[in-house]
Amino acid sequence: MAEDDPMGDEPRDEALARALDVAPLDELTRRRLVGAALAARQETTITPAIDAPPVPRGNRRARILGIAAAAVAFVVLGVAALALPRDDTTQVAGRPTEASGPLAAADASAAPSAPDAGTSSRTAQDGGTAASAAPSGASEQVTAALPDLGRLGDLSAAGSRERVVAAAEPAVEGTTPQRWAFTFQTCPPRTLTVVATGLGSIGGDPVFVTVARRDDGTLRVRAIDGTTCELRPLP
Amino acid sequence: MAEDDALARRAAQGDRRALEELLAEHTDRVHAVCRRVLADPEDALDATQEALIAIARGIGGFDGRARFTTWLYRVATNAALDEARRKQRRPRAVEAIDERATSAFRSSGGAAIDERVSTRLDVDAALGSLPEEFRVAVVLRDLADLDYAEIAEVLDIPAGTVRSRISRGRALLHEALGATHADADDPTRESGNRGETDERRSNDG
Repeated sequence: MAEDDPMGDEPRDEALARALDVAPLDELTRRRLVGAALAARQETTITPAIDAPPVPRGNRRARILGIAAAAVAFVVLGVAALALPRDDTTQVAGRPTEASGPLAAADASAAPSAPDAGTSSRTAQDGGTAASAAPSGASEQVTAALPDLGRLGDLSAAGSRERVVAAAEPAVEGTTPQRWAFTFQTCPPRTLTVVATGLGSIGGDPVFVTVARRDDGTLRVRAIDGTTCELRPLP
Repeated sequence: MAEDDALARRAAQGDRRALEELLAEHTDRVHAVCRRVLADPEDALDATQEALIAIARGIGGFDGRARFTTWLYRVATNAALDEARRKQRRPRAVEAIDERATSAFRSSGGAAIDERVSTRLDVDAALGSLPEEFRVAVVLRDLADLDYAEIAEVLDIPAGTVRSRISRGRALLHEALGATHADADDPTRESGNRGETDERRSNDG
């Protein structure tokens, strides 16, 4: 990177270079970004092999079984914690288990559907909006009226992000962002600030979809991989 | 640089560890370009992620004829510009930058928060006032330290155009920074803020 090459480049403007300098990323963020890129590459190399006999057949079966097991795990966790909001009323923990039917049938090719899928356990974490809205005498653990986008299907294809945003926009209009503690498959529990959630799959792996609102009002969509627990970008 | 090219060739041949090393080594460079092309730190991280994925997926096609870093900056620049265009299609709020920066610093604590917010806003606002083509050229020259020929290759434009864009971009940027720092002694004081939390991002959605 020559400062003055034979073509007569103007030298680097050191004052501007200092002004434009950007702090290095923290190690965790760097690892996450690199990990997601490597995982994305792995997807592209694995996907064509799925149709090649004989090993990929086993891979596919294992993947389907894995997804089914994941769906069962959702149910167990969901019932253990509590159920999801379906409407604008606050709900009390201990929702019935009928959600297990559709959940067990969930797979990577599920088409976008109406917001009905109560899958992972998503609970109002603290005494914020959700808890304060709890009816008198309700359990301490409550869920609030957070829009559930349901099963969003395969999110691997280009335009998935726009598709989720389009689905979320009418659902979250006027919704206040909420802090949510959630459990998803084997991922460590974490707290998210979101305006809506949903489920989908990327490359056959189940993902938990979060929709957050930026300061400028636009929506940010993220997917958390149920296998690696990493954030996955949507194309 | 030769080491990068050698790593890139190994990665192109399917060496996963080489690819991981390569990505880890260059993530900050990619992020820096994205951060300065895009005013929003979160958008910059999105663009960085897209760029790294594109690199990971496209490394198999790297044949070593161009330098790896040139290709890397091309991918990073395109990812940032794509993100900027996506953002342009979304509705925007007035004073969005002020809000973002203020909220980013609000939780960071410290004695000179106002000053740091002001400085960060100055740089972001000054860059934001530049036409995109000038901003990208200046970022590639003065931040990424690419020479004119490399910038021409990255942007796929003639070297003469690179020269004029850098020249005009610098003039505009100095003017914008000068205006916002009318009461300050040192228009480049942001470099003292390395490691501040505004460049960090929590994982909460």
